[in-house]
Amino acid sequence: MKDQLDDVCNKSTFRQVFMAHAEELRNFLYYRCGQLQQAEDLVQECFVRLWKNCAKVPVEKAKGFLFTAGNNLFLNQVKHQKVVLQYRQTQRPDNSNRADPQKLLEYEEFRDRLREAVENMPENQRAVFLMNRIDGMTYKEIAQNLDIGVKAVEKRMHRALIHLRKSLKKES
Amino acid sequence: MSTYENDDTFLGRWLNGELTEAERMAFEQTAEFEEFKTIADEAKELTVKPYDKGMGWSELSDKTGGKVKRMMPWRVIAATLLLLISATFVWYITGRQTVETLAGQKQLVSLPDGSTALLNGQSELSYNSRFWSSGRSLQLSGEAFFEVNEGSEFKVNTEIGAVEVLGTSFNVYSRKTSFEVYCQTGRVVVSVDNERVEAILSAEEATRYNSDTDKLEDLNEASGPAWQIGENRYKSQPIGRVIQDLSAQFGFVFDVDFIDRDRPYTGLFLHADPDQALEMVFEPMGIAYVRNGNAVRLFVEE
Repeated sequence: MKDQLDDVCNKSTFRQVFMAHAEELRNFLYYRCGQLQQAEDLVQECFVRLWKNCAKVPVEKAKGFLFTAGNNLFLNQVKHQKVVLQYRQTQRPDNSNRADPQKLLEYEEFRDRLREAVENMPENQRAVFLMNRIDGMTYKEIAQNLDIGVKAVEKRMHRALIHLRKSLKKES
Repeated sequence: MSTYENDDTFLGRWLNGELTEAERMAFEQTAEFEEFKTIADEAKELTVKPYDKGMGWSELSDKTGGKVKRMMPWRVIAATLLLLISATFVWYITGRQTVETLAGQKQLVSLPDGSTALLNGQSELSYNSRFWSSGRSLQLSGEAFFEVNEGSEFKVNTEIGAVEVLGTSFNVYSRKTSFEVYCQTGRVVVSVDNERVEAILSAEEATRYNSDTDKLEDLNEASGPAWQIGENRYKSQPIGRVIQDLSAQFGFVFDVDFIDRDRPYTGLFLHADPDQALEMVFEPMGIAYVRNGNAVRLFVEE
């Protein structure tokens, strides 16, 4: 039973790995290249590589393998485009600004500008920032996936916030 | 103290709840704090187009469909090994050959390397044809004349003793308690009881095992066994031995209770005619016989 579970070559285990990590991987690739189709093609390529090497990769190393493969493939992709984002549909219940139409308008404006600012962030800050904000990854996970130190993640997060604040100031 | 302006990990640590209490308190007093907090909180509401995992999986399944590169699990390896061993075992066992002759029947047996064994009547020869070239070993009961091609050790095992050669021709006689070897050409090593008693024979030498003295004695039988040409020759051999050979040749069952089986006999009998053979052996010895089919009763003439 145990060797079956540990073996990525097992088709059902491989499927579980896909279901668990495909979306995070696709988002990560998207944050970096800014093209949805390209990111999804790269996801396919990463998993095909994992399948070919399934005998060498235990289940617990699968995620690391996928992100490393994604990183390597990404180095070959030249175009860094802006990403397209949107806000979640659910509104926060404690939004006190909604009562005042004027405030609400300002709020919506702010959100649009923030979204655009994020979309146009430099690629390496953007990837780290969104992996944390959208995918809810911890700094440690991000560090592992990008093969960098946690300190480097902290720096990129710091620079991302500085960058965003500056961008918002410039436009207003 | 660290602030977001002089420490380039400050905001990163703040977002991860890693600031010291003092750092956090000081930061929360700054005018920029609210701005950063709004940015961080609102950014958390961002999302990307969801990934269609079902579609992704079916696309991936097409690409990974047939090429399963599984490492062979140990069970498959073990099963394969077991099958291989069993197959080898069966192959070896089925290599076992046995040739048996009836009374009066002579049969030439060709061995895998082209050596031959001519089997005399009422004899049995068995050997394994597998791995023949690496060790030529045979089991004999009865009598046979071997012509051995050059090669690895050639060994004939019998109930009493063994004969080892490299390349030669020789006769082995091993019936009941008798064990005799005649070497026609080359050299042979004759041994009894796991090489405890040994004798080396050169061309045209013969030896017989004497169980009383536990020795291999020289036999002055320079002409060699004549059974191959259809006769048995004896020079001062016990009549019991001749009776034994008549049985092997003609399938007789003798009743020997009334005669002395140690009396020496010199002479011969021919294989062509059983009645003539009986006459040739017993007439000169003064032994009377009554033959009824295969049963032959012997008694001393009054």
